[in-house]
Amino acid sequence: MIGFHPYRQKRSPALPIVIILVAVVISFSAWKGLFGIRSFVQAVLFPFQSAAVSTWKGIVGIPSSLASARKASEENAKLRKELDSLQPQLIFTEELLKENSRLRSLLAIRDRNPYRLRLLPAQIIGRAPDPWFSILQIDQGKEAGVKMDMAVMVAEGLVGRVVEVSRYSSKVMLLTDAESSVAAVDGRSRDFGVVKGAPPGRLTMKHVDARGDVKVGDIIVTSNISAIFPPGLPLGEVTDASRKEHDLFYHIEIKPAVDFSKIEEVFLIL
Amino acid sequence: MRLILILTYVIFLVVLQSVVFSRLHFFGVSPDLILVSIICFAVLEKSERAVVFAAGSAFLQDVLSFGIYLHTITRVAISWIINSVRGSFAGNEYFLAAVFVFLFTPLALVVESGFHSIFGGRPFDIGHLLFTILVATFYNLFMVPVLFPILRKISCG
Repeated sequence: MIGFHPYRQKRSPALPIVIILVAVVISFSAWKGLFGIRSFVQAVLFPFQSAAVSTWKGIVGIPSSLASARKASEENAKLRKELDSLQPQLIFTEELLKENSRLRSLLAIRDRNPYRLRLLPAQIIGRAPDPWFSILQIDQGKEAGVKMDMAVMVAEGLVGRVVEVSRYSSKVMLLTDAESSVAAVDGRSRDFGVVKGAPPGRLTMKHVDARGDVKVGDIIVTSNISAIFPPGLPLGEVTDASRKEHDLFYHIEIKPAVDFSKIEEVFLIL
Repeated sequence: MRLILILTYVIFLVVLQSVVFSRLHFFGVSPDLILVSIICFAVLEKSERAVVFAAGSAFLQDVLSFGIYLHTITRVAISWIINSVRGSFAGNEYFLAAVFVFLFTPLALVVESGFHSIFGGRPFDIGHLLFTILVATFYNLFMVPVLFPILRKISCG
């Protein structure tokens, strides 16, 4: 008797159901890290990502390198001349800097100066392959002393905080992520509030008392009540500050101080 | 040999996605190479290997992302659905893969966005979602002619 094979073979849903159930259980349990497997996989992928970043930067940098090489020798000679003429002024400036430093220590600003912070440089090796999260992956991890909730900054201001640490790499949640919130203060009026991420790439400041005085153009900085971030780090500039007659709080839109799409290197505050 | 080939492909893809394509994003949206590969592989493979491929590659995507294993859940479901219904369709596999990419890219994004809003407490922005769907679908369709021939070779090999 000739065997009959149906055109459509019925597939058992057992395998996908088991995988989905396991993923659901792990996602909502304390085993999200899969007993170190997640960290191990990240460590395995790290060399590939580092190599890819180097290759990518090499490819992207070729046109600018060729153009800048030509100008470099001309600029070099020009700068040498300028340097010679600035030498006397430099000595005077050094004296001013010393005096400035003394005054700063007298005013106890020194301890709060963000540029006095111990910083660990890190390179961005990747971004979360997901449109819902604003997460960066950096090339410093447990080995370099990175810990959870460490603040991350660039020269322009605060970038975010560390949310996941593996052996050689870490993940940084950007200020613009919907889950991000930072205690902040208006640099001019000293009105307090909470800066929250508003995807894609925007920031809003919540809980600012409507009786306050926030104006467009004000610089918003981290507040000294934050347990994670040092005070005085720029977050952004107010682009819209409105309140209606019976509102309890301001509606504030902020343009981030940092262009998150262009940063390639960051600093971790140790 | 085939397993090594698939593993190399997945690692290459995940690295490419997180390092290169994340830098080529358009307002935060970049092509989802892994989703496209999972769909193409589900069309090409006639066994449950497609589900295993989806689970493995989506797991790596979750490891490089943040939070729960939502990619693994959605991608495995997508792979299984395609693998189950593809027998009902006759004709060009390449065209079929493109149609599935066109259908499942928005569906995956809607499910993920809804999930993050309901369970993750993230704000639901319909404008942002529609924009993401539009750009991501276009990007993903653009990636089908690039990834499909590679996966066909891996699948046949």
